Amino acid sequence: MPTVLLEKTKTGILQFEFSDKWQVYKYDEQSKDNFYEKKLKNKSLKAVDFIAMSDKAVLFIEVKYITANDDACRMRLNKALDNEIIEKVSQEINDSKILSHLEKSRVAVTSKRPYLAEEVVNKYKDTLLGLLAADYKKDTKLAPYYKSVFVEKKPVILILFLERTEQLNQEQYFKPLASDLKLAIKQKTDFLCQDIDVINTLTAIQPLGIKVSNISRAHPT
Amino acid sequence: MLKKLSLQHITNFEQAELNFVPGINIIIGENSTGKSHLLKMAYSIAVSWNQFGQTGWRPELIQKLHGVFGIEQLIQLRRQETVMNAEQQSVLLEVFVNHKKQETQTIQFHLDKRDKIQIAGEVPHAAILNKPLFFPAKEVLSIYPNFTALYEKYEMSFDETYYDLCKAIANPLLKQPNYQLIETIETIIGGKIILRGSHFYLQTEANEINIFMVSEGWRKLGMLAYLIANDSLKEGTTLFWDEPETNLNPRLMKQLAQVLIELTQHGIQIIIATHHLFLMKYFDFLLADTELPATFFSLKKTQNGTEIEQGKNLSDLNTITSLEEELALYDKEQQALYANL
Repeated sequence: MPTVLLEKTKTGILQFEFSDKWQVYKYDEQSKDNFYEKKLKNKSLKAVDFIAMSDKAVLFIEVKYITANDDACRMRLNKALDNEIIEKVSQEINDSKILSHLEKSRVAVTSKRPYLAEEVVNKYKDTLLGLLAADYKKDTKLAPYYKSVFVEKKPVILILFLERTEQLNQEQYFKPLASDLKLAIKQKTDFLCQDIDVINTLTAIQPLGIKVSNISRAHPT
Repeated sequence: MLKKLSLQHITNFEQAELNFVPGINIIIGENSTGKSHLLKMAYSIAVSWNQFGQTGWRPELIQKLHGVFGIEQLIQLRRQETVMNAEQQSVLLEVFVNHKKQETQTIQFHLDKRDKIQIAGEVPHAAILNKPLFFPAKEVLSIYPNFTALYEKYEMSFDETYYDLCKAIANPLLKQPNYQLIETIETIIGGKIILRGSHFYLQTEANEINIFMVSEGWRKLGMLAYLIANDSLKEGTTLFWDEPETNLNPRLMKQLAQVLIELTQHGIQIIIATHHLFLMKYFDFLLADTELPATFFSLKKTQNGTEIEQGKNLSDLNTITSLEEELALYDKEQQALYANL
């Protein structure tokens, strides 16, 4: 029997239908029984959305639904997007006399917008830590997932599910961005997982065994 | 500046027409579609333009075609798959001219016998404003010393575009060059290209660096600055550049694209041929918010030779081979990833 889960984001609702081969857990579910919610969220640890395991692999799935363009988006899809502004501000600070030389050496100008690839990596690392904590605290719901990763050492695949607008979901726009994000994420995690994928409702392929529907697009309010 | 190039049964092309714009013209396509042939054909005719009508112009144009294409006879320019009468292998180039009553003039010729041309219609008589420049894939600052003398005396494995470019570099510097354009490039490469004796150097604030120690990407940009400073590249010039992305990291490609767009704002027409998806996309991105005249040509191999489609934006084109390959790679990676799940 497939497992159907809804992921509600600020932008819209996505329905994930996992085939029989996957046992799935909503890792960051807002429920009083959820380990992450109870024990880790208030420790500033981040979390991926789903962990799914089969007899062959474990998936860590982070879902993002971003309809804004690069400039308006609350996070950077490309690492260098805010570099011009940063350089401009840095130059202004260097040229101004507001700060002394010592003071200038103590401050840095950075983008307030997190870089998507880094956010996914941090969530993944924190989730791995969360599984270790769950084992330490003997949480029964997360125990099988801990066992799959750390005892059975099944191959781990980190998946960023990145939903965009109907136009930007099309392959000619999505796949080059996805390839870049895959590489960026892999650069930071290849010592921690087998592989990375970046997919959306149109590019998730059948062997994965996950069907995703954009409920908010199908039934706009 | 060029307006139109038409080819019939020449090299890869059964029938081809390119309508150029005064700004940026970007030709894309996979290997062996004939991108370089288009550039070389247009360049060979345009650079010979001001000799048309003068004594000996016909053999000079033929010699230029030999030298630029590296061929011994014009019959080698015929489309190999087609066996046609000479009249049907033709070339037409329309350019903007310096004339009170006519905005453009046209030359059209057919290949005749093994190594002759036959003009159709009138020989143009009005001059073009400035000689075009052709940048081949490799820069020439490092080969410049003595290159022109060697080329004139010996058979060398370089086509004539290298020779022409070295001759352009040999022009003396202006007393008052366009500093605005040059400074942009000098900021990128961190200094100024100077000629001491017969060798080039990059003069930085700290010291002088022998051109051989300078990266090839910076040498290319330096070459651009030098040609602006010696008046070879100026308003009214057409700059042909074959694969400008060669030896350039994408970060430098971005800066190059910005420089080329700035050149068009100073009345220079740019015609480039590129493979690089990043460069195509970056141009498309920069041009999207401007009114600058720009056009993309996509070359596609078919059973009837190379076909050309034209569009204002990259997304107007149906065939972008580099993009198709990138998408195909994504699909292959996915299939491999999930094959054993």
